[in-house]
Amino acid sequence: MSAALNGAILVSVAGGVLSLDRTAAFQVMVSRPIVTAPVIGWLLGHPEWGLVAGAALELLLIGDLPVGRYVPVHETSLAALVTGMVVAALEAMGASDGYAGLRSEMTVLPLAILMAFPASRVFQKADIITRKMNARLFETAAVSVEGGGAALIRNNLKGAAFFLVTNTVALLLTAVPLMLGASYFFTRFALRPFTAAFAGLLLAGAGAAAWSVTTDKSAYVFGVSAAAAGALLTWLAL
Amino acid sequence: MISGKSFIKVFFGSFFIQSSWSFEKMQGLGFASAIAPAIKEIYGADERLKKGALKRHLAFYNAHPYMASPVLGAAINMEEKALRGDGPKEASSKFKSLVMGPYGAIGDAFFWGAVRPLASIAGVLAVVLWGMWGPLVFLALYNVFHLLMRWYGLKKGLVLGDGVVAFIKSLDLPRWAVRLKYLSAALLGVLCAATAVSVLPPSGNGAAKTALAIAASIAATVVSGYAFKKGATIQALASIVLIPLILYGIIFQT
Repeated sequence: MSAALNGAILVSVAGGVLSLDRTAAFQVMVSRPIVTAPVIGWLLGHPEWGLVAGAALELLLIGDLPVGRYVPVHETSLAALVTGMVVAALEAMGASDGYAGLRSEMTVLPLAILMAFPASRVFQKADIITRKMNARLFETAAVSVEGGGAALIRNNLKGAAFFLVTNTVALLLTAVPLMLGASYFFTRFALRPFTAAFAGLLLAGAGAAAWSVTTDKSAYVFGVSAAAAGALLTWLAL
Repeated sequence: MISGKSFIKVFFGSFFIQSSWSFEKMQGLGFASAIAPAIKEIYGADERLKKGALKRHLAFYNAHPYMASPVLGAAINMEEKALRGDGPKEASSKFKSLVMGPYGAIGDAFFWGAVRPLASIAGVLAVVLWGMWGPLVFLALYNVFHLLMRWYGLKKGLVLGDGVVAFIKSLDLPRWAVRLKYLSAALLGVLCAATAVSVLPPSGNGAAKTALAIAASIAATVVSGYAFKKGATIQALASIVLIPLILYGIIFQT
């Protein structure tokens, strides 16, 4: 119980910091699931489990773009939360460490994603609240511009602090119940049944990726490339 | 021309252009904050001109965050010209409002729509092939494009002023976006095949099952891709695919 609670706090703080990269600072993409999830997994002692969760989520969320005023699914918090749930569940189930536990992860990950998706609304809401709060910073900056550039920079960085606090709080609110719940819930199921769902998850992700790179002829390029690579890899494996 | 120290400060500040993103003014405060070190150097001790310039830049602004760099550079160039009397002081504000729309669209289509999917698919493929190297492949590939635009965009803007528009046009980013999407589609095909082969390796008796798995993964990808095109959301599609499989597993496989 206390290990899962400590893990939830760690996930919330680390997820909150990584979320800064998403909008507020740098945007070097350490906030994408393919990076966030293995980092969270590493902090919780299982980077390989995070890696698999991150790769699946990266594909699934590839085409959800922050265009204009649209606020997309909060992929960083979702990846942190899902990784936290997967690690909490697999540890409770006594799964083997590293890649040996992958088969167990195939059973846990799809369900963890389904359970975490509703929570992503909390993350979106937190994001919208932060962006509304930031409007006040602009007004404050307009008054304090007489103080010079330093006042502007200070007010601008306060916005990043708002993002950090709201993201961390939103993660804490969801990670504590869901990670504690995952460690309890998943121990009630056998390991085998969800493997097909993992394959389904990957294929849904591949579909999302295909949609995001659609051009007039990309379907042909995709098909020809898959067939050629499949034939080559099969020939090499035989 | 501003000093190297101010250039680095503006370059670093450009990474925080969205820190105070709001629905009303979007990147307005971030832009003013990023350009502030250059304004300080250009106008020196003249507080009246300095505050006037900061107020000019503290206004609504929204473009793709990476495409702010050439605009920042050009705006600094125009402020320097205005101080020398080579142009009106409102030129930089007018330039910003003229280019932010097109640069938002170009940046969204190129970086979000083409570079990121390419880096993501390459990263996931690298995860399948080399495990933990995957995230590094993703970060390296993505940030080559990202950091080049931040650095050279700012530099070219500083040197060329409003001529940076011609420079950005010469890069032909929309055409490159389409080319990168073709490359992404090809890599996605390799990813589907590699995943199918690694999940269902061909046995000594033949490769029929593996070939079937590859064909099924191609078909499923095309079908789910078509569902997205028709407006299916990520949550809806994931639920439609996963819930029946999970229920089937719970009911029939335990």
